[in-house]
Amino acid sequence: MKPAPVWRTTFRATLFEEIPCGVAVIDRNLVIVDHNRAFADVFGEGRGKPCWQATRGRTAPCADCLAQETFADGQRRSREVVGVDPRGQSVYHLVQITPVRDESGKIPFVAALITDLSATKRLQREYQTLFEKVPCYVTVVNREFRVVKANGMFRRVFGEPTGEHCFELFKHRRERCADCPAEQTFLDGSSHTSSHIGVTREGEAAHYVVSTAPLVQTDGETTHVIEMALDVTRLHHLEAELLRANALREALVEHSPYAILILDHRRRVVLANRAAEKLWDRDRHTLVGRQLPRRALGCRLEEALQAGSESSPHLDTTIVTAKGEEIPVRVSGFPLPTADAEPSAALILQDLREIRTLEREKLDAERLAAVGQTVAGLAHGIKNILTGLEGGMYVTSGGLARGDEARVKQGWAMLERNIGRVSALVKNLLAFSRGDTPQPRLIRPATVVTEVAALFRELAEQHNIALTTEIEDVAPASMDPEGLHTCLANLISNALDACLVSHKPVSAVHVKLREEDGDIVLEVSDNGCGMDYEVKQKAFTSFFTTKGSGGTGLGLLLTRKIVQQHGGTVTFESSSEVGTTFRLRFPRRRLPPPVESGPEVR
Amino acid sequence: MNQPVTSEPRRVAVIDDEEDVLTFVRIALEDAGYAVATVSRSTEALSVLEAFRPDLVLLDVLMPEQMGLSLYTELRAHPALGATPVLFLTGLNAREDVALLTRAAAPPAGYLEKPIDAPSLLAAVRRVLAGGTGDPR
Repeated sequence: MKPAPVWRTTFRATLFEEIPCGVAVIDRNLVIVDHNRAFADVFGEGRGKPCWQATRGRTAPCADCLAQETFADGQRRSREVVGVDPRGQSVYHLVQITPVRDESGKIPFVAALITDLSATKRLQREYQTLFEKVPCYVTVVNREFRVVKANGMFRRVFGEPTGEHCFELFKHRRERCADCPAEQTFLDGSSHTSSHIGVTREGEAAHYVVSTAPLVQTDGETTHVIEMALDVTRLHHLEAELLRANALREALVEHSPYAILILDHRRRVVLANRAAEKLWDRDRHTLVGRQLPRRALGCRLEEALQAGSESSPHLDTTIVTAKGEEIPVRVSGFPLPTADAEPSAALILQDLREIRTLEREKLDAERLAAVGQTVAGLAHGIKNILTGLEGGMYVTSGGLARGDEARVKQGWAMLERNIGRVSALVKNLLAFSRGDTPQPRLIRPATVVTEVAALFRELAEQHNIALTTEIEDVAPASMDPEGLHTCLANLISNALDACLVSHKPVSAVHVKLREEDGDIVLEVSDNGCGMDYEVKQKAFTSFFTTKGSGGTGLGLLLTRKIVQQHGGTVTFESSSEVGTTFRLRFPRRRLPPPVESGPEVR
Repeated sequence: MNQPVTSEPRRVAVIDDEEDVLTFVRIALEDAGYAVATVSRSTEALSVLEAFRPDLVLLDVLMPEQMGLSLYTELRAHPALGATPVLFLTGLNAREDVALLTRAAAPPAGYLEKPIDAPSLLAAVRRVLAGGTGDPR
C-alpha cells in the first residue's frame, strides 16, 4: 500500500480538531485516550478519565453502555443521552459509537461522536408549548385525514382524538369535505387557508378559518399536515349583526315617509331617499353627488342644518320642486358623527301639504262645531233676552197703569238693557261666526294698544276707575290690527265691568305690553270682583256671562279665537274679590306671515 | 188682582242667573199676592231655600250650563225640601231634551218655556200649587 500523502494526514488531524461536534477516542477500559476541542468545550479536559465519569458525572460505568456493545459486536450504534456538563447543567446529546479497527480487524478503540442536541430540544419544547397553548384548534392529520395529534384547546372541546377523521370531528360529516385544505397541502406541499362552517358538540353552527401546513419528512414526502382552525363564530355573528343593522338602517332611511338627505363636509348630497326624490320630483341621481340646486330650499342650507337642535325648534320653510312648485316643509337638521374629522350632516324634511290641509279641515270643523254650539246657546240667550224684554214691558206697563214712576223707570231700564244686549249679541255673533282669517300685516303693537286704551279712558274716568298703561314699544310684528283691537277692547271692557261691581273704594285697571323670550305679551289686570271657581270654569263658554243683561257671553270666546288665529294663547289668573289678570301671549315664531295686500280694503 | 185662596200668601222661590228674569218674575208674582224669594247664584240656592221654605220652586234648568240640574238633584234628595214641587224654567225648545237631561232624577212638577209672559207664568204657578202639573198642554 502506498503511504498516505502528508496533506491527508494533516487534513485528518485538522478535521478531528475542528469538526463542530465532540469526538472522543475510548479504549477497551472505557478510558478516553484522546478528544477534540469541541468535546472539551462541553465536558472540559477528559483525557485519561473514564468516559462515564467525563461525560455523565457518574461513579460507575453505565448499565446500557453503547461502547461495550460495539467492542463486543463491532456494530455502529447511536442513542440520545442526557449528560452533565462540568457546570452541572443537563445537556442533551446524540451519541454515535463507531468501532476503530486495527490492521488485524480487532477493535482496540471506539470513536464517540457527540452531537449537542440541547438547542434542538429547547426548540422542541417551545414548539410543543406553542402547539399546546395556541388559542385555536391545532391538529395533525395523516394522509387518511385522521387526527393523530391535537392540542390542548382541541382536546378540551372535542376530547382526546381516537383516530377519527377531521371532518367527523369538526363537521359531523361522513366523508371528506370537497374544499379540504389539508388535501391541497398533501397535493402541493404548500399552505392553504379557507373558511369552513362546522357543527359544535351542542349542534350549533360554528365558523372556522382553517390553515394547513405540511409536516415534511426527511425524504421530502408530506406524510402529515398540521391544521389550525380559528373559531370565528363570534366574529361571524358580529358581522352578521352589523349587516342586519346596516340593512335595517338603509330600509328605514329608504322607506321613511320623510325626505332624508345626507350631506358630506362640502355640503354635497351623498344620500337621498325615496321620499326626497318624490318631494323634489327629481331622480335621486340628479340630487346625489352635488350640492342642492339653488332655490331647491326656501331658506339657507346652514339655517336648515341648525334647525331641530335643542336650542332651536324645527324650521317651517318651503322647497321648490324640479317643476318649480313650492311645497311647505318642516325641516330638521343635525350633524352626523363620522369616523374621520370631516363633519357631515343630515336633513329631514316633512311635507306639510297634507298636514296643512288637515289643519284647515280641523279649523273648519271647529268652526262648524262652534256654529252648532252657537245656535243652541243662541236660542237660550235670545230667550233670556226676550224674557227680559217681556219683563221690562210688564214692569213698565204696570208702573204706567198705577202711575208708579219708580216702577216705570225700573221697567224702562230693563227694556234698555235687553235691547242693548240684542244689538251687542248680533254684533259679536257676526264677528265670531265670520269664517274669515285675520289679515295680518306688519304693525307696531304699541300703537294699537295705546289707541284702544285711549278709547276707554273717558269711560274709566266717569266711573272713577284708574286706567293705567305700561306700553313697551316692542318690535313690529305681523298681526291683524283689527283683531288685536277687538281682543284688547274686550279685555279692558271686562276689567272695567269687574271694577264696577266690586264697590271697592279705589278701582284700577292696568294694561301692559312687553316682549318676553320672543313672545309678545299683553296683560290686562284689574282689582275688581274677580272670579270664583264656577265662573272660571265657564269663562270661555259661549253665551256665559256674569253681567246679566249687560253681556253677550261671546267676548272672551271671540278674543280667544283671534288670539289662536295668531298662534297665541289666552290665560288668566283670578281670585274672587281680589281681581283678575288676563294674559295674551303671542310667540313671534308662530305669528302668521303678513298678507302683502288684503283681499279687501276696510 | 188674582189673590191666592189661602189667607197666608203662598211662597215661591225663583232661581235664575238672569237678573232681569228674576226682577220680572218677582214683580209679576208679588203683584199676584205671592211671597217671593229670588236667588241668582246656584251656590247660594240651598241655604236660601232652607230658610225660606217655599211652597214652589221655579228653577232655571240651564243656569250656567248644568248647574241648575245638579241643584235639582240635590233638592230632590234634601230631607226638608225633597217634596217641594219644582217648575223648570227652560230656554230649550223641546221638552224631550230636558227629559233626557233629567233621566236620572224624578220628573219636575212642570215646565215653563222661556220667553215667559206674565199670564202663562201665573197660570202655571197656580196649577202646580193646586196640585196639577203646571203644564198647560
